[in-house]
Amino acid sequence: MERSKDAAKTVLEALVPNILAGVSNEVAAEILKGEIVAEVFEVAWSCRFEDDRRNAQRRIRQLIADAIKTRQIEALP
Amino acid sequence: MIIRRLVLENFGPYFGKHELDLSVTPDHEVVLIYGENMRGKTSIVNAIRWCLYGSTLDRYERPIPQQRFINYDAINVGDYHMAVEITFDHQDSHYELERRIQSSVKPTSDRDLKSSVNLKKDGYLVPGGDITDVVYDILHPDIARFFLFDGEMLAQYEILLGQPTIASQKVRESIEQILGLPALTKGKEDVETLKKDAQRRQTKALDVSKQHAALTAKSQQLEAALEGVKGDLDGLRNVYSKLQEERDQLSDKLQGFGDAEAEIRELDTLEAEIGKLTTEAEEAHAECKKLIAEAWWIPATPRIAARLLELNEAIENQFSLRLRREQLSADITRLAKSVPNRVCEFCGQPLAEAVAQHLEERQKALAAQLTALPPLATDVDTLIAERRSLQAFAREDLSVRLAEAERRSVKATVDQHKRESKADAIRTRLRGHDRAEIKATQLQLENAVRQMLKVESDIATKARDEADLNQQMARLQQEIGRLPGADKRIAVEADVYSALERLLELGIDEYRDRLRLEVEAEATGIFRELTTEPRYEKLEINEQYGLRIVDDLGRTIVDKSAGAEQIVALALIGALNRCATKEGPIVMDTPFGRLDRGHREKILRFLPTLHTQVILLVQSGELEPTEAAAYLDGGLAREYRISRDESPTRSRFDPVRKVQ
Repeated sequence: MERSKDAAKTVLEALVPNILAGVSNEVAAEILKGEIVAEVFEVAWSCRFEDDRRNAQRRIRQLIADAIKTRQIEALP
Repeated sequence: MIIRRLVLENFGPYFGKHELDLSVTPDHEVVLIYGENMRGKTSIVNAIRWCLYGSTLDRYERPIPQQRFINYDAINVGDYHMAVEITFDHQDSHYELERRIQSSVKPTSDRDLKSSVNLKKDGYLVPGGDITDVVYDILHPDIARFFLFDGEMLAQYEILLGQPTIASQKVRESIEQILGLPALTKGKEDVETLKKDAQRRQTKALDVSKQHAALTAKSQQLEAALEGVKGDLDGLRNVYSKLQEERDQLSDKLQGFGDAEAEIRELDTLEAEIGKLTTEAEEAHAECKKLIAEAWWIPATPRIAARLLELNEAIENQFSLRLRREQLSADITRLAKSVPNRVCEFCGQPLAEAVAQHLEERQKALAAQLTALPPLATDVDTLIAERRSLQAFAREDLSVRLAEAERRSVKATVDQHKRESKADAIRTRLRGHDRAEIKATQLQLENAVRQMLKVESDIATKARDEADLNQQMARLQQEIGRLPGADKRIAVEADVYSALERLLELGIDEYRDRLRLEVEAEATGIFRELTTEPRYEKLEINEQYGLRIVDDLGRTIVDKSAGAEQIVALALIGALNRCATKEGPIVMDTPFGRLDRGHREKILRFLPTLHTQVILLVQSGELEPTEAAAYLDGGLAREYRISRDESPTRSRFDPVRKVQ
């Protein structure tokens, strides 16, 4: 893996606990504890040169929507 | 990315088809291409860039019309086409990229040209619409400056050490681009857009209860405020881009004046210096006049000093003589009391005859000495008075000040004359140029850049306002999310986006700081390997990625040589390549221009460690072939010489050596 990509990913993952402290919504906090940060980072990294932001936004929206769907189903009795 | 083969057809000075095998191996990483000036070294860099991106840039980073690259001899024989083919390997795949332009008539502009591009990946054609994306993914043009670079342009990295300017901002952006920072900044912008969208949907989904209505109204107010700020920001960004256009137009216009523009700048500097030196010379001259008026006797200072020495000696002698006389007289008087009475003057005892006789003889001897002494001068007081009056003129400080003022006056006058001669020579060369117009353009350009900096600062202020409003909006949306009746799913979505936005925001600062330290450490390591100056301890990075040399006593080296600047720039490029998000071949055009033999040796020994492929384009003035072979220490894979055929527009490659 590219050296700077590793570094950027490590920085983000290390910051997750700080961010979680400010999230009061339990489902949102659960989602953020999972792989979502790494997945969003992958999209951001692969789209870093693209001018078409819509493509990046569409992929991130889909990731979040899938994560919410999974968590809410798991949360059902 | 490793380039295996480069084929040029009617490109620049290369008439017909010419092929370069650029293959390297893990143990032989360097390809050396010798070519004297104007033979076509830079054309090789341009050909690679053109084949990859369909355009190429001049030293001011402006696109060069493609039609200019078609070989003149080809045009003269009616062959209006040009092509470049690059064969390369990237991440276990093999690529063949070919770009071609042609015209049915003698081309006079790019409008006459038809272009085509083909890319094969592992033998299969890549669809035309995907070629740009595939190439950009392999080596994006925004970071190409760190792979395909001109040694003469390394000085541009020095601007990173000064106050932030538009130019330094562009370089800084390129550096952050190669280090991958835009992944986080663009990611944050995307998440922010998604968050706003979720917040809007959340607001719409609310029941119209009293509480909801109040919060909704507040949310709408905030949204309106946000829109307002956004509108202001858009307006400012528009103004900024208009100023950018104006700046570019003015820059182009100034470049159109050629050397005259730089000469006028130099003339302005010289005239300012002449004015300053004139004032200095006048002040020093006035001081000389004042000192001479106060101390008219200064020319007689040596004679005064000599006379003072004489007087001091004479007065001293008189005082010694007087003292000697007084001592002898006192001794004689004392003996005169003892000798006639034969009694000791101290105890009153009678003196033995022998002692009495001895004292008598002593008395006579002292009397004889007293008589032999020269007489006292009668004018000692006159001598003392003369000395006192001369001492008033023995003030060395006035003569030193006068000499210093004279030296300053002469130096300022000489410097002033030197500059005036230089200024006169420039004025002669500037005849025929409209100096007023050039100066006006320079002022307009400076004004545009100043305004850009002001607008940049306004944009930053508005962006902070926007961030504040966004935070307020996030808190309000959380409050709305907790209200009964709100769509829980959208609330989760908005919260996740808010958290991700904050995460990316913190990540950007943290990552930027980390990158800076990493680049500083890598650049220091490379710099120490390259520098021949053992006192230089490390490089220190600033906010803009500018690097300063620090010596072993912790002092920053301010006035470094042009060679040292080049070494620092190479260390920065090396560090960026080591920390980079992408790997590409390093193609260096004229990299040794300002370097001495010691530095050349160190760079050549270092290059094979920089990347798996390094292509050096050099001229014999900067590197001797024997030097290259000796210092590359087995790292040399291939060596070519660019020769010229019968026409100055016909160059060719002659293989000199193939090591691997």
